[in-house]
Order: sequence, then C-alpha cells, then structure tokens
Amino acid sequence: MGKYDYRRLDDLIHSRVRLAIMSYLADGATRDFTEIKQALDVTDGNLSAHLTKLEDAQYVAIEKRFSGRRPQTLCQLTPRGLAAFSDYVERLAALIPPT
Amino acid sequence: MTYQSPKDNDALNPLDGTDRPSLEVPDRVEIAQRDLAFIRTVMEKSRAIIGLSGLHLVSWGLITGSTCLAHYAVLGTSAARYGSFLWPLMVGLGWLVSHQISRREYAGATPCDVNTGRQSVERLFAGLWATVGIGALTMFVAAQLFDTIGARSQLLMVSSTMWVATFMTGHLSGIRWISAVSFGWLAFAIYVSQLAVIDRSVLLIMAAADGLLIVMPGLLIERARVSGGLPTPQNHTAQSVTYGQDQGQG
Repeated sequence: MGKYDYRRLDDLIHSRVRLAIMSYLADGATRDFTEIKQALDVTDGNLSAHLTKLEDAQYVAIEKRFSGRRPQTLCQLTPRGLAAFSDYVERLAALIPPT
Repeated sequence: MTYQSPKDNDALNPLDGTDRPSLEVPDRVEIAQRDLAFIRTVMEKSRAIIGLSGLHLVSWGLITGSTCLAHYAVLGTSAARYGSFLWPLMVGLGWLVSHQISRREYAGATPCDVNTGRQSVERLFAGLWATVGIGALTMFVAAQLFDTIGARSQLLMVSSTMWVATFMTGHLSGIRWISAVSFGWLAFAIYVSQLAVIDRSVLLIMAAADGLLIVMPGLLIERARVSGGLPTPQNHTAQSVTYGQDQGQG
C-alpha cells in the first residue's frame, strides 16, 4: 500500500460536497434542506444534484412535506448510507500509519 | 493552504492515467488526514445544531401563563381556596400538549429507523420539563396535605425550577442564549423573596415572566428553525465549511 490508493474508497462518497453531506448527516438526525445548504455553504442546485445522487444510491432518504404552508425537504442518512460512510472513514483511517 | 482532493486535481489522481506522478506515503497520509479532519469539522458543526422544537417552550409558557392568570382571577372570587387546583391541571395539560408536539414532530419524519442524537436530546429535554411538572405536582400535594407551604415558598420553588429547566434547555440544545434568558427566573425569585407581602398581583407578574422568558424564546427558536437555521452561537461563530479551504489537521 505504498501508493496513494483511493480505489478502495467509495467513489460516490469521495466527492467533496457529497462527503460533506454524508458527514453532516452522520449523526442520523433528520435535517432540513435549507439547514444543510446554509451549513455547508452550497447553492440549491448543487446540493440538490448531490442529494439526488446519494438518494439514487439509497444512502440518503429524502422526504418532501409541508410545514404549515411551507414546503420542506427533509434528509436523513439511511442505514445503508451510514454503513457506507463508516466503511469510508475506516478505509481512510487505514491509510494513515499508526504513530 | 488550499485543499485539493484527488478529484479536484487531476495531477493527484492515480486513476486518470499511468503517466501521472504517483504519490508516496507522506502525501497519501497527509491527504487522508485532511479528509478525516474535514469530516470531523462537518460532523462537529452538525452536532452543534440541535433541531429543538420551540413549540415545547411556547406551549409550556402559554399554559403556565394562562394558569397564573386563571389563578389570579379565581383569587378574586368566593372560590379562591380552589385556585391551587389549577396547577395540577396545568401540569397534566402541559404534558399532554408536549407529548402531542413530539408525536407530530416525528410522525413520518424519519424515513429510516435510526435512533438519532437529536431524538436523544429531545428525550432529555422532555424529561427535564416532566421533572418540572412532577416538582410542581409534588409541591401542590404537599401544600394540600400539610398546609405548611406558603405562597412565597411556592412561588420561589416554581421560579427556581423554571430557572433550572430553562437553563438546562439552553445547555442541552446548544442554544446558549436560552441559558442567559433563564436568569430572568432567578431575578423573579429574588424579587419575590424581597416582597414584604405576597398578594395575587404577583401572579400577573409571573404570567408576564412566562411570556417573556418562555414563550418569546420558544417563538424565536421555532421561527429560526422553520426558516432553516437556528440562531445558535455556534451558527454565528463557526466558520462555514467551505470547499477548497484547508480544514486543518486532525
């Protein structure tokens, strides 16, 4: 493992924005789209596109509903997403030699 | 120092061609460390924002404030001695409303069955306010049974409990200005302790305190939550997680 080997890392999570989304949702809480957008400092379109990819992979569950009259998009990591994220972090940590 | 993940910079990507310079151990380690530091930064930012519903505070504030006003009104009638019975009703109603709010919050809102940190905090929060209710109920029963707890003592105990509960709400939720607001209850307790005579007008002041110290903060929290960002100190002071910036070493 002398080379910088990212081939063993989950390519879907490895994208910078998707990694941030997964990290933000990693505590398992349901988060609002607007909250994620503001916290991660990304645009609506950018966040939406990345969330769609994560949803397609069944890493993130997205639910659209109304809070009063306001439309609300709720996002939460699925068990599959949580497992993939944990695996990603473990593999990343394995790249660092023990001190 | 600008952070560049392998995908952000082709020169670093070993998957894009064999003619790329391969990176040796120090670079690999450094990038992995930065990725982990980045993940930690985002996770800490996420944990700092607890999606606490302000409706709990609004409902408890409205119910206790209304009870104060009702008690004040009853004290002016021939049924004055039954005024204390309003408080156990208040506790029961408060629990019922709080329970319904929690049910509504989570009904269908969690597509996957994960026990969340947020839910744990809200359980703690619910337990805290349940303790307030139990304390008020115990005090009522003791006052009825032994008739040794005077109006001043009752007000002091209620305001002290409210102070602790509001302070802990701010502490648990990470919304620290709530903890600062909670000292209003301490001020109220000091005010009550220094009064020469406790008359029913104190109930009006307590109702106003309920509005200012519980309902108003609850409305502010709820308003911020619905708009997508809580006005927590962490929100205002934490740096945005900006892509392309060094997130520091873990």
